[in-house]
Amino acid sequence: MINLDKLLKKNAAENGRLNKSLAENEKRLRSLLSGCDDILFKSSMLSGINALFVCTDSMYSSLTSSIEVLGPILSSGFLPENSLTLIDYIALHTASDMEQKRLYSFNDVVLGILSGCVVLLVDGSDCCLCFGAQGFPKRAVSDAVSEVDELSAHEAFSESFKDNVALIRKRLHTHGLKISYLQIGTLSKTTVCVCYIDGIADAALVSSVKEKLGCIRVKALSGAGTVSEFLESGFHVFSSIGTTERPDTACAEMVEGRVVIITDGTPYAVIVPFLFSENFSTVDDYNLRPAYALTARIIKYLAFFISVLLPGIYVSLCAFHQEALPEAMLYDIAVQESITPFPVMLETLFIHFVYEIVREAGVRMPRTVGSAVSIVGGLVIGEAAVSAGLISAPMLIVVALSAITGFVVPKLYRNIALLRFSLIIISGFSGFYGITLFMCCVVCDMCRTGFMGIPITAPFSPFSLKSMRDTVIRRNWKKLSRSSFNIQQMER
Amino acid sequence: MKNKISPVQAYSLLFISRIVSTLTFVPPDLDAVGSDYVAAALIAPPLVLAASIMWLHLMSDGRTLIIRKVFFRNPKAEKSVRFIAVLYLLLVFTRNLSGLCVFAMSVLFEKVNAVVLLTVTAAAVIFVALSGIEAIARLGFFGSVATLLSLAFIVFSLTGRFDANNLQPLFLNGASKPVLLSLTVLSGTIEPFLLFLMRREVNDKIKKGFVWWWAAVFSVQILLTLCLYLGLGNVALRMFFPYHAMAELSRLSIARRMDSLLSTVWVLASFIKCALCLHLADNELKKISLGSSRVLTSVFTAVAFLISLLALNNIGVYRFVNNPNINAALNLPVILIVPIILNAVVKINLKREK
Repeated sequence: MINLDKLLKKNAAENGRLNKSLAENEKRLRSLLSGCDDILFKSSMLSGINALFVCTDSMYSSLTSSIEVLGPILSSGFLPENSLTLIDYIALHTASDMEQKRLYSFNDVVLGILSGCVVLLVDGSDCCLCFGAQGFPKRAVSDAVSEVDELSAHEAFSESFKDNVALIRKRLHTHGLKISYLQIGTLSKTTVCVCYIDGIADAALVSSVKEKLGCIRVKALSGAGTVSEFLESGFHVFSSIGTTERPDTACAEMVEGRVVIITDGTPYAVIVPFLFSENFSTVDDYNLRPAYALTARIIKYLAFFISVLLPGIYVSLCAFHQEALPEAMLYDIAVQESITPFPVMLETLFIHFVYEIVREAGVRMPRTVGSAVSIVGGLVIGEAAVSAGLISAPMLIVVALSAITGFVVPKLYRNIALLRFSLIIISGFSGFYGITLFMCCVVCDMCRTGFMGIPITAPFSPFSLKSMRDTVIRRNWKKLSRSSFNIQQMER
Repeated sequence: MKNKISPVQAYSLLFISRIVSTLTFVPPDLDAVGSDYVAAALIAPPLVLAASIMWLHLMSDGRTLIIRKVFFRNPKAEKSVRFIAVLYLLLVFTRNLSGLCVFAMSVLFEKVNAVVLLTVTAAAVIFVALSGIEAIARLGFFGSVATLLSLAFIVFSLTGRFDANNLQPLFLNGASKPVLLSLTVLSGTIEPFLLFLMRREVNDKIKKGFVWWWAAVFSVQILLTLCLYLGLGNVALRMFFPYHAMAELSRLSIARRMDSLLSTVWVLASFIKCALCLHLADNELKKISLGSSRVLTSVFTAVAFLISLLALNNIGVYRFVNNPNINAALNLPVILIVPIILNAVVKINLKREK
């Protein structure tokens, strides 16, 4: 166990220790925090000794600090008259219900103040007390937005990492659940929590994650996306790092030996390692009967392939492989395509580009306007473009189908969009030949993507029959519960 | 990173390699009939297995040590042998790469620029080959599954054209033609040699599943030949690519022809085989250069590129590279003569040691 007090003393020795004189400490703090009008300095007299409360306006909870800090101190009948024993007395006899620690250096004091803590400095003492009375504005726990499930909990992570950790803790009542805090960002000092279950998660995996996080050198950590990029090596089409906004999913992942990373200020958690097949499973799959879960997963896999390949295949069929179509269908398509001014590849690219613009606008616009954008995009542009002969009706069907199927696996939407565009261009130049070569390269890229020796293509390749029980097929809980699955089984 | 693959993945790669040879099979001018091909499909597996077992014997560490002791006392000698292996791989690689591009240019798009096509294909092959054996093997596994499913679908959609009258008694025209045909299959079977080169990258138990795998591959091949014969009869053997003709005639519901599907399988399998050959060549070149093999591998790829380009522009060069007689003359020593000599050397040395 690391002794926090010793660590803080060591830190103090390196970063400028507090003086015994309150006046000097106040002067130094005021100079360090000069220009910060939101810092509150409140001088007070405790048992005849000068004291100073420092905190950040709107970052601390006035109610908590009144009840937990000031109240017990001020209402105490006896307070020692010696400054050193006064600090000890307050630490022991007051504010017992909240997080508190002693700080020795100016750096730690400033960090504590800026984190929303209330800091108490006492004249004659070279240490101060820091009370965790934070009370900054935050969003309440709300419903999941991007991972909506019917039969499972609706709670989702919020921006407050403490709330997020609590959401995990309340689901896993085990002392094995370990939560380590790290601070990343030389300026932002963002708290990042590494959560795992001791004894289930591989120790090497945990230490590797911590090591990689420790190596992050940025001024400000903007969110979990930055963490993901530092954890991953190189660019790959599909990532070995997953995300979830659902605490129940995060807990289920940890039970299987994965590590979950929560970043302060980000309403989703990062999961490592993450398999490709996990993009197709939802919490609902485990609440439904296996047969329904199987149907849902088959639909998702089919939707993924349709969304990625359909526009490319359509372009290939129209441009190179007309012989593969039945005569009637070929005739209809040929008639429709003959009235459009663009080659089929450009037409497909154009309409996909328009669709992506409409989608992006719908996402970024205020919600009230978003639906209007969709209507304009869907009805007006689509209908009008067909009527004007700019695009063909079959093309509109292909685009609509590939767009809708793309939303069946929302976690992969961006990957699908990238692949779709690439495949449209490639199929326009080289038909099925190009599609095959490109898909070979994509699958090869997937095959070399992994985290700590666990490839994302597992358990399909390297094939593991035992682990196939919860991929496309979800076996019933009686069978699933007989043997526990651990992600380390996937190691190549 | 362990850089090791499982036997299943290794066998998947060999399956892909074998299926390319099957799908690109061009009937030799032997005046043979369909039943001769079915008979040859039955004779070939035992022949190939017998030849493969010799390579399998050589794959144990003790035997390779004896070979090293006898042949490679001089490092230069070892390098020379490895260089010959690289040249052989160059031939296989060039044959596949040019075949792939010729197929693409003749069947898929005739007006495409050969240089562009070859450059794009070679770039994709290099990307996959340099991704490491694990990535190639996993791709091979996915490729094998996709190939098997596609072939099963093509055969299933051909069932409407099956005609029992196409069947003739085996060996109706004597045994000589089926035997000659099966020797053609044998001379085109380079998979045991590829497995020998891959052996260091495969986990243990590789020998255990070998016979079963071989039986499975040839079962698929026999079944395909039988379906081809049942569906097309003797007409199939008048076609340049019989299996492609089979796919052209397959139809199911609104899918009128399956040749696009077969072309996809063909491209996929050829592509993986090319990547495997390049990877193995790179491995051997690393051992020759005792370190980084970038320059040598670049030269290897450039030579293959140039020969393929010549083959695409000059049908004479293409015919020379793909000449069955030349290929048989080069393949047979690899399949038969080299392992026989090496096995004999090992046995003599083991006896001497005793």
